[in-house]
Amino acid sequence: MSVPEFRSTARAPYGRTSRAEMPAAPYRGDTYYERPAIKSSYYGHRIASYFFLGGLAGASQVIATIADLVARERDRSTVRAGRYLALAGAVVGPALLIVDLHTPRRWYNMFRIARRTSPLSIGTWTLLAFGTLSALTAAAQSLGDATRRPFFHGVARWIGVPAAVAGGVTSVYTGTLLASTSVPLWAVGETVLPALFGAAAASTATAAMTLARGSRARRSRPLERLARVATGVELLISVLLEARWRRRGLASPITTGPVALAYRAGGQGLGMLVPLAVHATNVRTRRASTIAAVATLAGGYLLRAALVLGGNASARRPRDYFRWTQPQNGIRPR
Amino acid sequence: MIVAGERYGFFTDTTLCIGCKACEVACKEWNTLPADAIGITGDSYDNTGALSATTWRHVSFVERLREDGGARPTTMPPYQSHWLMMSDVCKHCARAGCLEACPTGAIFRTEFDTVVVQQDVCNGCGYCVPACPFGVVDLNPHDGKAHKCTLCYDRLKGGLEPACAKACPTESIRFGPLDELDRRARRRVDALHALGVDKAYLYGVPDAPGATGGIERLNAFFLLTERPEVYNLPAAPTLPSRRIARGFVTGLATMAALAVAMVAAFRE
Repeated sequence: MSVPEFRSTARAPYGRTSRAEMPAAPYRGDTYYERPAIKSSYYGHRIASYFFLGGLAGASQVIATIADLVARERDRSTVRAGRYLALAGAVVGPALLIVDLHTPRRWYNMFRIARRTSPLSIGTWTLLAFGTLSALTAAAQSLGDATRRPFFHGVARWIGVPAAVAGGVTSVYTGTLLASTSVPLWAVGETVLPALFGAAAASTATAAMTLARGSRARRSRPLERLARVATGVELLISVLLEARWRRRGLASPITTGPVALAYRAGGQGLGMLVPLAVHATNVRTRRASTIAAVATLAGGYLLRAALVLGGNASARRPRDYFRWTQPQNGIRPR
Repeated sequence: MIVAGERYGFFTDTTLCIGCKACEVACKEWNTLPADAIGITGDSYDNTGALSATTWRHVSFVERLREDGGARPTTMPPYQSHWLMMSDVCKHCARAGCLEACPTGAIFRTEFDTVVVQQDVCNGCGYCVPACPFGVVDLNPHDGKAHKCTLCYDRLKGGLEPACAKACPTESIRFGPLDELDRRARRRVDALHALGVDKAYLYGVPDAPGATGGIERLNAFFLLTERPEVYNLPAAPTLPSRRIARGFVTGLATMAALAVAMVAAFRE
């Protein structure tokens, strides 16, 4: 009857799919009625709390072990605080994870298999090792303190080494757990999120140990130095992460709305800038270090909560997902 | 004959779909899935919305006007729209993000090369949900387990094709061995191109859109006539597990650097 309209248009970008190459056409912003293209996670405050506690516990064990190996007698209270914090986190953290399961009575099914393609499976076995070793280390520590026999402190020192290795993995695997999903905000942080979680674990562990050493212990200059370094590194990595989000146009779920308040004022302000400012003032009072430590802990939790909630919001934005899954983003067929 | 050890899948030809939703209904009936919230979405004829724990086939409706372009090979009178309809389903990926993410082994690959959640193993951790690159698998809040299309594992075991393919009146949904489906799909694309439907292409066959980033291929693949995003599909999805190794490298390197800082801080 008449000339079909489609013939006059340019070659369809997805027409005649070649076997050799992916068609690359600029993404025009199409969505299906703005409906999400992927499902967001069910993670909320329990998982954010676990990220916070697990990281804190893991890094506490690392700090305690290094303090014990390097400084021995001088940092007894630091070592003790670190080992008990590690045990506390290794007990409360998994409890939070089990409560968060939608069928909690089957929690032990996590131990049916070990799967290296699943960060959750890697984390399960890491957490089991970390918890067991942390319990042994803390037990040896308390026996040593009670009996005043150097033998037990020696045992704690050497079980502490594998415990610290497991603690280091515990601190960073949670970042990989988020990044190994299809959620744009998390996935583009594949290399940065684990580093950020590691640095946040170190800064919050330092803060918790500063508080846990008790009000009668003398100030710990090593912990103060460490707080400055870890918090500085954390701030640097968070800036890198945000640059990555912005480059891909994926930042808005975490830079707008209430999540942005938690991320900026909480995670970066309270958690990083306030402690760095307190440490920079050279006011070396107990009150100053307590303020810095409390701010670090509050910010450390808010950072994790903002990342979890921001990721859930990111998954609900089809345009973010499609922007990230364009062929020109260097994704190869195989 | 449906035999164990052979690879099976769906070929969903969207140019044949008439939007009758018989597949949705057949799936719900066979798998005794409850109705979802009844309501009007306002999104054309699509009141189903999306795949979920209780909806394993979802017919999407895209109403296009002439200005939007499209493959309708006749002129259209004013106010007339033409349809893009697609019956969406779990893709039963050759390398499946959900299966790789599952920490309990509840999600497994069957003898028909399909991907199924074992309900007696799943503990509802929910990690498969954000892992899926296509937003398919979901948790059911009522029973606390993950659910998705099983490609009618029980019917295959009994030598029957899946309920949706059986019910499809236009054979838009075809079930069969993958090599046979692939041949059929390529013939169909060639035939459509010969008819002038230039835009027809396959989504999910090896080296095509959808089968990217380590996913290799989709055992349930599609013939589309518009870019994937129009059907709510990603053009170049990736397998989530690809990001694990590099994450551990930078994460553990950061921890190692901080450990050096700790040694320096505690020395003296």
